[in-house]
Amino acid sequence: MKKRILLLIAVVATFGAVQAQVKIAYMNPNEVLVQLEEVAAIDQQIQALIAQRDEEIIAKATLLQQEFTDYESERLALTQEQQQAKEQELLQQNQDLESERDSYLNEIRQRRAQLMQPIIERMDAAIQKIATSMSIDLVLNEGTSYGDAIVFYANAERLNITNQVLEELKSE
Amino acid sequence: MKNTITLSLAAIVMVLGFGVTNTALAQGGEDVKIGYVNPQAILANMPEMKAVQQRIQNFALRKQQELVQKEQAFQAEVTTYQQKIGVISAEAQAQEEERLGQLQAELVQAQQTAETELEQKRQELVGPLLEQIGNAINVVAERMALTYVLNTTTSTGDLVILYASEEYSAKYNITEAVMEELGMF
Repeated sequence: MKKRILLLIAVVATFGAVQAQVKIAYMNPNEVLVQLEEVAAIDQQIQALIAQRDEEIIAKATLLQQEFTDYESERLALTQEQQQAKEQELLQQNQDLESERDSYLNEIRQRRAQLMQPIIERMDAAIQKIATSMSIDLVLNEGTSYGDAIVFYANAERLNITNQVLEELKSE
Repeated sequence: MKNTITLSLAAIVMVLGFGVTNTALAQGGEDVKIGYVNPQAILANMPEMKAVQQRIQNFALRKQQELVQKEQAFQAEVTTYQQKIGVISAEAQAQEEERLGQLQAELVQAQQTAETELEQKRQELVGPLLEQIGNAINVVAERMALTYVLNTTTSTGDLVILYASEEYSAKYNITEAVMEELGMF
């Protein structure tokens, strides 16, 4: 009788081992991030920063616009050399303004990435925790940040661990 | 005692039976083995990549210089026109403006062409390297009897695979194996 049980266990174990397959889940990290208060706070901070810098640049642009208008009205009174010099100067100012805007937008993007980094790290840890507890081998991204789908279809909602990861992060 | 042996035999047969069934299933494609690879990481580490990047950069610089020259030529034409605007007839003005408009359109066209050419150049130089990587992936995948090999990262930097368990990664992250296959170590 004992032997039979042992053999039965052996049968089940063999079956189980052979049957062990890759366990794949998926989730949407953006969905998690937009529901976190810390992320909302960061985005608010970033928006305020952009608005502030934009205001500065708009003020400068308005001044430059006025200079262009002034030049137009006095152009004919200037010599050709003066005209060329003035045009060069105005165009240069315009270009400087554009590159100034590019550079601060870039700076703000980097700032956001910096602020987000610890949150992303916490999310990665939460994914790992959930995956380990569910014996998941792989977690796929549901879609790219550009909105392209990676996972179009999954036959069971329990394969989507987005909510578990969110709950884990909120409970910390 | 005899009874037990019979039962044991039955159990052994069952084990074998299961084994056979599962092997059959595996051969039928049921036992899916998924590997994954980060080709961008391989590409960035390929020794040929330095020279390729230098060539792309040189090409881009040359194209940019050409464009700057064209733009300066156009600006000079505009200035010339502005200087004689008061002394030529309305008809001549209209003609001249049309010609300048045409030149400007050509300038925009030249910018677009340069961008396309740069992209083509990149593909022409990086393409063969990507093909080498692709071939090495195939070799490794066949050797490991993988069903699929996924890409870990998109060209825009989005992750496709967010997580892999340590155990799984050790077995199925084939990035290093592909690099080895390419003779990079």
